[in-house]
Amino acid sequence: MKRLEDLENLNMQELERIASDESIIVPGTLKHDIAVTARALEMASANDAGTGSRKKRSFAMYSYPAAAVAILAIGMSITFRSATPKDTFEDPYMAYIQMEQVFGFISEKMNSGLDIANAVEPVIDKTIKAIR
Amino acid sequence: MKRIAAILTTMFLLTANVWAQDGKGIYNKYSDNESVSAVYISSAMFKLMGKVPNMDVGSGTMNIGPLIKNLNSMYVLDCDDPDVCQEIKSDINKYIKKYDFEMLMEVKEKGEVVRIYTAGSEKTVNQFVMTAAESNAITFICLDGIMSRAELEKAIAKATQQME
Repeated sequence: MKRLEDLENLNMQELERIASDESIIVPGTLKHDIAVTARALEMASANDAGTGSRKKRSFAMYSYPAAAVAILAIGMSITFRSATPKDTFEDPYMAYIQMEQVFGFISEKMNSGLDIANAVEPVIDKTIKAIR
Repeated sequence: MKRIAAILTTMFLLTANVWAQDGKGIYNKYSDNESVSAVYISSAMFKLMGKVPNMDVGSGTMNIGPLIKNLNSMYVLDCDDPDVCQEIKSDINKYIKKYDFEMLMEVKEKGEVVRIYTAGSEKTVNQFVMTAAESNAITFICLDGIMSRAELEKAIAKATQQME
């Protein structure tokens, strides 16, 4: 009896010769076995295709809401950034007073810094003279 | 799905955080907070103010007309909530780093740290930022627009004279 490896190594001519040899007895269930195997292969391939479409479906199911959330997030961020605030004052006179107060505040803080620097200046001068 | 949601949330927070890193963004982020006092003056208001003749305010006359003519906006935030202050400080630091500001002055006195930054060229200032921060309070001033450095110094000097 031939083994599977022997059959795999047969060339086309040998296969044709064996097929046409009427002395070889073919098992009665061979036709049925081939049909069952073919059907099983068909079912297996159909099952694989089904899994693939489910994967595609699940990806689509998640990707669309994800894209929508991304667009919403970007839109909200752009709106957040570009939103022009409303003027605090409607009266330019009031705005002007506020500006003056702001400049007053800035100069007050700058002055305190300059005062500290001025107070230290004689000490620095003395130190420089001492070094020289 | 959870992973996608987490990535998108992170992206959203990052973009919101990055876009909060300018005067307008910082103002927009905190101006509605209950513990924050906010003042915004727009370019339209500056134009209106530019048409106002020298106003007598306080003890003398201060003409800041030439300076405000070219200003686009002014944002002021004043906060006394320690947690919000920390967030504002963090956003200001990112803003300062992002726009390559130059520190004009830093004064540390009685627990208060005052920092003045400008961005621009030798003759003009495009952005002026001042922060006065204490342990649990902060004042943020941001002037945005093309200001003559000389005019800005003059306005501050005038304000100083008025105070004396």
